[in-house]
Amino acid sequence: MSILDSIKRLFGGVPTNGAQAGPGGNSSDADMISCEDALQLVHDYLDGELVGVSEGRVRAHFEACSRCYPHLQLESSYREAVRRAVAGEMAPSGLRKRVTDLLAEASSGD
Amino acid sequence: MRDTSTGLRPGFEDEALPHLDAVYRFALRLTGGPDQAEDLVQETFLRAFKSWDQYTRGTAAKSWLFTICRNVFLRGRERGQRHDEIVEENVGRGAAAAPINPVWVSVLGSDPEGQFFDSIVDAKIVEAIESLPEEYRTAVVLSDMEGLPYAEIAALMEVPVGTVKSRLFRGRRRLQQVLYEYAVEMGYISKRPGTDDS
Ligand SMILES: [Zn+2]
Repeated sequence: MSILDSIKRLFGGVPTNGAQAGPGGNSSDADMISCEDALQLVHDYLDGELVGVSEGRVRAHFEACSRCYPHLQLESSYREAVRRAVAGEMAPSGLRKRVTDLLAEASSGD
Repeated sequence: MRDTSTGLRPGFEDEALPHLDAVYRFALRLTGGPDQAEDLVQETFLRAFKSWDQYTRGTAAKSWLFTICRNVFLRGRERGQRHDEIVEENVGRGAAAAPINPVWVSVLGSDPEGQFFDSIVDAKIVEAIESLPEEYRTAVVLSDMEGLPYAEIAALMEVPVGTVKSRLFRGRRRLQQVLYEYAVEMGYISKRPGTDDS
C-alpha cells in the first residue's frame, strides 16, 4: 500500500494537493509549515484542537513530508492501542442497580 | 423509563445515568481496583444526584460527573496517603521544546507504523496507564480514552489549557516509553533497528 493510500485511510479524505499549483505568486513552499512546526502540532492536530492554523495546512505537511509522516502514524497507532485497551470495559452488571437503589433511598429522604 | 426511583430529579436518568460505564472506567483508572471503583462510582452518583439542581441541563454531563468523581477520589486520598509524585508543571516546556519523540526515533527503522502496539495485550496497556502519576493519568485518560476536549479537561482539573497540554505531552511520552520498553522486552520489536541490515 502506498503512503498516499495510507493517508487516505487515516483521514478518510482525498489530499487536495491541486491547490498548491494555483497561480498567484505564492510558491507552495512558502505555504508549507516547517517540519518542526508540524511535529509540534501533531497532538493538537490529532486531538482536533488546532488554533491559528488550519487542519489542511498541517495535513498537507504530513502528506508531503516522508520524514514527519511516520511520526503522525506512530502517534495514531498509540492512540488506537490505548482506545482499544479499554473499549470493552463496562460497569459490572450489579452496579447500575446498586446506584439506582442508592438514589431511590436518597430521594425518599427528601 | 418514567416514574422511577429518580423521578424527583427530572433529567437525571436521561442525562447522568447513561454515563455510568464511562464514570466506572474513569474510577477504575483513578483507584486501580474494581471494588474501590464501584464505591467511588456510587459516591459520585449520590453526590451528583444531590446537587443535580446545580447542573445546567444539556451541558457536558459527562465532564461534570468526572469532576465530581475526581474530587471525591482526591479528597479520599488526602486523608489516606500522600501524593504519589509531584509532577513538574513547567508549562512552557513540552512539544515546543522537544518536538521529536525519542521513542518514535527508536522504532522508525524497524516498525514505522507502530505495529508493535498491536502485540501488547490490553491489560498491559491499562497497567502502564495506571502507573502514571495522577495528574498525567487523568489528562491522558480523559483525552485519549474518553475524547474530552482540552477545555473540558482544563475545567475539570482546574488548571489552564496550557497545563493540560503539558500534562498530556508528558503523560503520553512516558506511557509510550513504558510500552516501547515492554515491547522490546517481549521481543515484539528489536532494540537497535537497522544494526543487522545491509
Ligand atoms: Zn516534515
